[in-house]
Amino acid sequence: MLESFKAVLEKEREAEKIIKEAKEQAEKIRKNAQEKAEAVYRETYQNTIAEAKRKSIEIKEQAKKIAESEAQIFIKRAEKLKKKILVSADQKLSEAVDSILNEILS
Amino acid sequence: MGSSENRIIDRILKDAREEAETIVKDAQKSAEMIIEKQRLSARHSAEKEAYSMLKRAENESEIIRGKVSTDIKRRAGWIVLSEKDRLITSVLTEAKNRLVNMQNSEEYFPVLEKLIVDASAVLDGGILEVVLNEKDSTLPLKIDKLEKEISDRTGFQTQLKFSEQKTEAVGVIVKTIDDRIFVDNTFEAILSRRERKLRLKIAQILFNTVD
Repeated sequence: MLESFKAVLEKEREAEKIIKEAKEQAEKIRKNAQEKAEAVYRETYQNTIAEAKRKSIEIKEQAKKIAESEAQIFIKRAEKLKKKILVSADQKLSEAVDSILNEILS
Repeated sequence: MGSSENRIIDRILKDAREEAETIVKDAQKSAEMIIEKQRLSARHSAEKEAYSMLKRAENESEIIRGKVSTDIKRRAGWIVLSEKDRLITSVLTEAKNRLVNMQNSEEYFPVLEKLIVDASAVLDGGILEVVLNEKDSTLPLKIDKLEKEISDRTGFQTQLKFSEQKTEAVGVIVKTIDDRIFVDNTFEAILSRRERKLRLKIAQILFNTVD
C-alpha cells in the first residue's frame, strides 16, 4: 500500500513538472509574441506607408504622363492651325499689302 | 502494485500531458492573436497617414495637370499668335518697302504733293517750312498750286518755304516757321502712327476665315 502511494506521489510530481514546463513554455511563447508583435507593428506600418508612397509617386507620374500627352495633342493642333493660317494667309498677302498702301496713300 | 493503481498513475500523467498541451496551445493561440492585433493596429494607424498621403498626391496631380494644361494652352496660343504676328509684320514690311520704292516711280509725285498738303492742313496753313530728302528736293513741285490748295482747305493764307534741312526718310516733314510744331508725313512715321489700326486691318484680311 505504501509502495502504491509512493508511486502515485511520484507520478503526481512528474505531472506537476510536465504542467510547470508547459506553463514556462507558454510564458516563453507569449513573451516571444510580445517581442515579435512590436516588430510586426513596425514592419506592417512601414510597409503600408511605403506602399502609399509608391502609389503617390505613381499617381503623380501618371498625372504628369497624361498631362504631357494632352500637351502634345494641343501642340500638334496648334502646329496644324499654324500651317492652315499660313496657307490661307499666303493667298491674301498681296491683297493686304495693297490695302495698306491704299490706306496710306488715299 | 495492482492494475487500479496503474490506471491511476497513467491517468495522472495523461491528464497532465493533456493539460500541458492545452496550456501550450492556448499560449500559441494567444500569441497569434497578439501578433494579429498588432498587425491590424499598425495597418489602421498607417492607413490614416497613407490616406492623407494619397489625397495629397491626388491634389498635387490636379495641380500638375492644371499647370501643364495652362502652360500648354499658352504655348499653343503663342505658336498661333506669333505666326499671325509674323505674317502681319511681313505685310507691313512689304508695304513699307513698296512705299519707299515708290519714290522712283511716276505715281510718287502726286503722292508727295498730297502729303505736303495734308501735313500743312493739319498745321492750319500759315508760313510753313517743308523738309524733304535730297532726292525729293530736286522735284519740280508747284509751290503756288500747293499753297492755294492748303489755303482753300484751311481758310488761312499759306506760304511754303523749302528747308535747308534734309530728311533721310521718304515723304515730308512740315513745320511751323518758329520750329515749334511739326507734322511728320514721312512714310515711316505714317506707318508708325497708324500701326495698330493697320495691324488690325491686315489681320482682318489675312485671318478672317481661319479659326
